[in-house]
Amino acid sequence: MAGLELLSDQGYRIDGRKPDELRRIRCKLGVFTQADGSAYIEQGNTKVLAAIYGPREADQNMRNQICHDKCFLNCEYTQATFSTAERKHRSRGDRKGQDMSTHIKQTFEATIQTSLYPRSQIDIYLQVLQADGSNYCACINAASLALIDAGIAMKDYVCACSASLTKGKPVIDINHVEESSDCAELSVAILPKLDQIVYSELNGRLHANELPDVIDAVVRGCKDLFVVMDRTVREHLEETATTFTHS
Amino acid sequence: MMPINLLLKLYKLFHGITIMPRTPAFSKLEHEFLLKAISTGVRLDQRDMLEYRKIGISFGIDYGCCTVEIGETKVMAQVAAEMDRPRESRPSEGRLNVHVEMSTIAFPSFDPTKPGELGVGIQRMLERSIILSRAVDLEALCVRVGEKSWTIHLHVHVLSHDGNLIDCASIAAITALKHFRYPDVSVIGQDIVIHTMEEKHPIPLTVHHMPLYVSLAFFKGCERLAIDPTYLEEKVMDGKIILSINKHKELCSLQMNGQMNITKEQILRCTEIAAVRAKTLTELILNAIKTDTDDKKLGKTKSQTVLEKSKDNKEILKSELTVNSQTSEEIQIANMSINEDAVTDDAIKNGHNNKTEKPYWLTQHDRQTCSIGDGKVNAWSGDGAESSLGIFKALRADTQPEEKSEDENEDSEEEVVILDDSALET
Repeated sequence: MAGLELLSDQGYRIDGRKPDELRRIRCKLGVFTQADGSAYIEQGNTKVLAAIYGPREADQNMRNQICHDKCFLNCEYTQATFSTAERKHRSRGDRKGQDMSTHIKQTFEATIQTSLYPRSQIDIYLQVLQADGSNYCACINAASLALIDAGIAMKDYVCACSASLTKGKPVIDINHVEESSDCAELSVAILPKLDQIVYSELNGRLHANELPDVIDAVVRGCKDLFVVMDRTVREHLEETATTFTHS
Repeated sequence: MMPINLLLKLYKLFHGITIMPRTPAFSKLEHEFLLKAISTGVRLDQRDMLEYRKIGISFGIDYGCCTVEIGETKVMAQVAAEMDRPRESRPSEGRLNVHVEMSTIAFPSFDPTKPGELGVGIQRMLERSIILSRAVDLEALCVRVGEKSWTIHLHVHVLSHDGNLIDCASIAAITALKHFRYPDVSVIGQDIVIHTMEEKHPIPLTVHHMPLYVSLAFFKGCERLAIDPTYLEEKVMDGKIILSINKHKELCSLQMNGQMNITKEQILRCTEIAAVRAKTLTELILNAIKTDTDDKKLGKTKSQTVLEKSKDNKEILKSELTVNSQTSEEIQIANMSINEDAVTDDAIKNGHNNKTEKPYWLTQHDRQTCSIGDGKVNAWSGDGAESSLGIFKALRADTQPEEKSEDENEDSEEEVVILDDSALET
């Protein structure tokens, strides 16, 4: 992989995108019938399924986490064994998965209006079917859509995007090849209408002076993503509304 | 208004569910008091909002063992090296594994069998800032490509939790890695010879840069920002931003924990604060390592603790502790400097670093034992007891060298405590 240039002289990346272009996004709400809310998102080649159960009564082994004034969140993140180029079996409680679950849980604890659902539990299940970079971001977007599908009250959409710095230029929505190179990777989840950052995570080394540009680029990427997600939700709503009125 | 413990017992009775509150319950009043204090810019221990607690770094006898204390939070890091096969995907590099242990001595609700969310969080954060940012040169650890390379194990033990574990752990980890030396190796044909410490000098690890974590806690909807939160402050905070930064102002990791919504300007401001902090910390660490290396060259078995002085004086203080050769493995505690010669009747003078004298009711008996007040007359030891000191004889240095009295307790403001002899018999 040494000869592969992440950003060519003409300004094109390996997959032919410009630095500020997102990958092709396709999302769908309501993919499962059993779950209270579900969504499926494809960001380029990264495919994630999300299912939401809740708000519901806390089950036996989570009893000690019940709060009298708010609901608590439980998040499980799993990556399928066939999701990466090399087949790799990941056990249930492995560290990376646990770490990812904690981060996603924290992101949504800041967004969901937990005070409206006292003494309940909301479960977020995420399954990565194909991992091609920006796993965390795709999971956040999928979970956000699934929560909207479940009708759970949130402050705003949560849109997440990742960015990196190549040859001094920030590139957004990085894929697996760009992730495994030596560059820094910044993932940020924002509330687009409120313009607030809910979660951010940086891997790799980045100079403090370069940070503002990268944050700006990633916030712009998130806002572009929001437009796509919003359109999907409205289309889905129109479809379901027409089925009600015509039945 | 019933006390919380009684309420919990009743709940248990009615619902038949076992609730074990392993941590003391945190009342709403405490919560509100802390938040109110912080909103007026006052912290519980009277620090400024951007002031760190006192940091102490001390080393063990071997290379690679380091204990760091930030206030009451204590973390110990130990580095060990093992010759092993390199990873298949990276045959020309050594490995660096981070293991974090959260034992119950640090905090009652820690479970030693499972690291828990906090333990996994610390481990992942250390891995990210040290391994992913290429702080340690792993290629230099390769001995024979594809066959033999050094695997470095970094063990981080959390000894006491009073908030801000990640900062303490990162300082301990980086200091231990920088302090560590592994044996020299020569490759002669097919054989690989590992030289002992006596034959050839051990080699230090190549640490390119020192990424240190700095935690900043946000309160009250992100209006107030405090650096280095204590355990109580962590309980009331909205969330914290954790940055790993080195002295060249390069960010190696940036993470937000908790429920907060912040703006880009706040993140940038935190970065500025953290950069300044990392610079002073790096100087402190390098100074500590240099002092210790010089001491080791002189063959001193003394272990020095390098402390950061309070904000009136920007210099770094040193305090010397004598190390008993039997107890060389133990961790030196910076606060109690027990001087062998100065065993007096009453107060223990610790003239080096503490500005206040030990209170008159803290009695010392021998090198390793002290108590609050004088105990009852020991009916068991009979005559022949040494006497001029307090009468507390159940623990003698010659019979039980390792046993420490449980009363090394300075912050008890109660009156003289008379301890029952029966409780002390082993």
